[in-house]
Amino acid sequence: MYQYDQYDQRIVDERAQQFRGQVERRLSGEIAESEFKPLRLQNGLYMQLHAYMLRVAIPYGLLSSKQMRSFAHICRTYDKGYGHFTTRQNLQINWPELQAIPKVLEELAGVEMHAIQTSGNCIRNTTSDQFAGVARDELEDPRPYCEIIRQWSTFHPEFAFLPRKFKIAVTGTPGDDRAAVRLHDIGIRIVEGERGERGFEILVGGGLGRTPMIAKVVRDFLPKRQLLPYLEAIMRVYNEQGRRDNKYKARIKILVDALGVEEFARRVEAEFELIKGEGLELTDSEIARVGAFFAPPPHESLPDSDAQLQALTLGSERTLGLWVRNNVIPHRVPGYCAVTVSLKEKGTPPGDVSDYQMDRLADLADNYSFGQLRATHHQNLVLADVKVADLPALHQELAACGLASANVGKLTDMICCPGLDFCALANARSIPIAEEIMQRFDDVDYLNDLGEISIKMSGCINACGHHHVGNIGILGIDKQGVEFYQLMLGGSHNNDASLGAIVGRAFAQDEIVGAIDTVLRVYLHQRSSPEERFVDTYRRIGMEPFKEALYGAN
Amino acid sequence: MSKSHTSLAITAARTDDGAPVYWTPEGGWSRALADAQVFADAKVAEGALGQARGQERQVCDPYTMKVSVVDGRPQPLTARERIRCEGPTTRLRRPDPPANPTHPVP
Ligand code: SF4
Repeated sequence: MYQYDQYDQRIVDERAQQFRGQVERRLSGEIAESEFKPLRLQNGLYMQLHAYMLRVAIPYGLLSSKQMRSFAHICRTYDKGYGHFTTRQNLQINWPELQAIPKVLEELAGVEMHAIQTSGNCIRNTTSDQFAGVARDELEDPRPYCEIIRQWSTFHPEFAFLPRKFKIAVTGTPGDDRAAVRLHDIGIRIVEGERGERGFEILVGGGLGRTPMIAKVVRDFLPKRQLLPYLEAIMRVYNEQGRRDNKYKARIKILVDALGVEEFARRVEAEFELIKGEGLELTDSEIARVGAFFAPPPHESLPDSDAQLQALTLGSERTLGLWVRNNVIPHRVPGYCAVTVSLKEKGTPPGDVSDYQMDRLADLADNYSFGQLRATHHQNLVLADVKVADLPALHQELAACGLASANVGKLTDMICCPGLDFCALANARSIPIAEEIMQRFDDVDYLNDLGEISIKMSGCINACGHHHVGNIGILGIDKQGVEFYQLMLGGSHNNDASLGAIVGRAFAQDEIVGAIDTVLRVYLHQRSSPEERFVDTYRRIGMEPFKEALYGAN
Repeated sequence: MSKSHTSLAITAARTDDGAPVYWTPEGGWSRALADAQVFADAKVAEGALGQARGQERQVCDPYTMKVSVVDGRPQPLTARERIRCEGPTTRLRRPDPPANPTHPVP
């Protein structure tokens, strides 16, 4: 993985020092909240309903066991002993006191981490595919380009005050979009050109929130060396022409929609012509230099293990078999596989991990996966380089620390934002609904029978829980101080990305999980075969049968 | 029978830790809504809010919130203020397995 050079380390150390001074001035009364707020937000420090919340960037979700141990220490020492992995592959801690933050930032800097640009109208953490570098269907590892974008966008002076926040995602697997690139301000797909040469397809204007949109292609094929000039051109057009008068209309998707994608692309190309050749082009040696940080770990030379993997799913140990079937994918290197550790345990908010579990996960990464972990945008973790032969032992160790749920890709593998239990912007709680869903639908055979299906839930229209692209989406709304839940069906975040449609009137808190049960019954009754996924059944039969079952003749 | 009517209280986030606090009749802040000064008159509440805003070191962004007064005690009227007042409705941290007694559950 990437390692800081002296410049990276210096700017992160200096930032922690600067913030120490700013916190001291706030605590001494020298500056008021109105002056302090923009400073704390630039360091990822939010004010939530009960406490401050610090959002720590995990570049494209990749972290070392050492960094995970540092998270554990920070959560244990300065928080309430747990952290929350988010849909943007970041980590949030929910209870730090203000005076502790400089210490936390110093500890993070000590393991090459920070909270810079995790808030505010700037370019945020670039996200990627959790199976980068190991997936069999991958064309090329996207992480070197994520890192190049991280270096370009960090403290970029021109893009520190954009009209709104800005999110970029990169995938190297054009056939299976695990990074949800169509839902980002800029989505980048590594593709092959007509003569087999590698480059990028560039999509712009995706995003959820108040006005959900799927990104549109502005460039079919961009040569690799032009990545940064082209991104810079997009950012310049947006920075200059994006709306600043209304924050609800300030994201780039609104600009692309208002101009039309052809006109937007024309303006970008015009800007690109001006920038091209000014020195931002990537050279082969620079790509190779950064790429070297992501070289595969020293795998052992092992025989092919697909049959062994298959045997485990069918073996006599049923719990292990189910877990292998749902949580493990084959690796491109024979004898290895990638394991998703589900953070969707009954009784725990989705994405939450205790300090104890973090320490154990760091140990497991060291023992089984070359000391590295990945956070996923599904709020899970991945051990990407595990020997197939080690799966039974790893499963046992995960079970011992409560992390062996065999539900990846299943109904209870929900995405869920913190909602009204924590978030100052929320309309309704989401965690208790997620917990109720996990309680109610915990029969493993039922979950497997339902097959591939996603529930995504947000506590407000900002859509951090990606409810628009859940096969089943839940949006918390406020009706005169009372929590209600709107149900959406038919969303998808993959290559076939689509936005869900609202079913009808919202449900009360004690009705919403029953409504999901009804939706699932309709699906099971209507699917053409057990292989037909929920979203395909929905696309085939439409909303009516679901509506009728939910609301009857009304 | 309990009697209830709608009034106002003043709330803010405490600077040191972000915790919700309530303006008291003594001109200070308390963590307990039960200690809050209750205003029947919106104009009087606005006056006190001005004073509360002056305490910039102690608190961030004070505002008035509606409360219902039940048997003389202020109660939050919305889900948001109830959760601020009473804390998250979910368990914060999962207990460790018994094999690891070293980190007590907060
Ligand atoms: S979706 Fe809304 S409630 Fe949920 S975390 Fe985002 S802003 Fe908060």
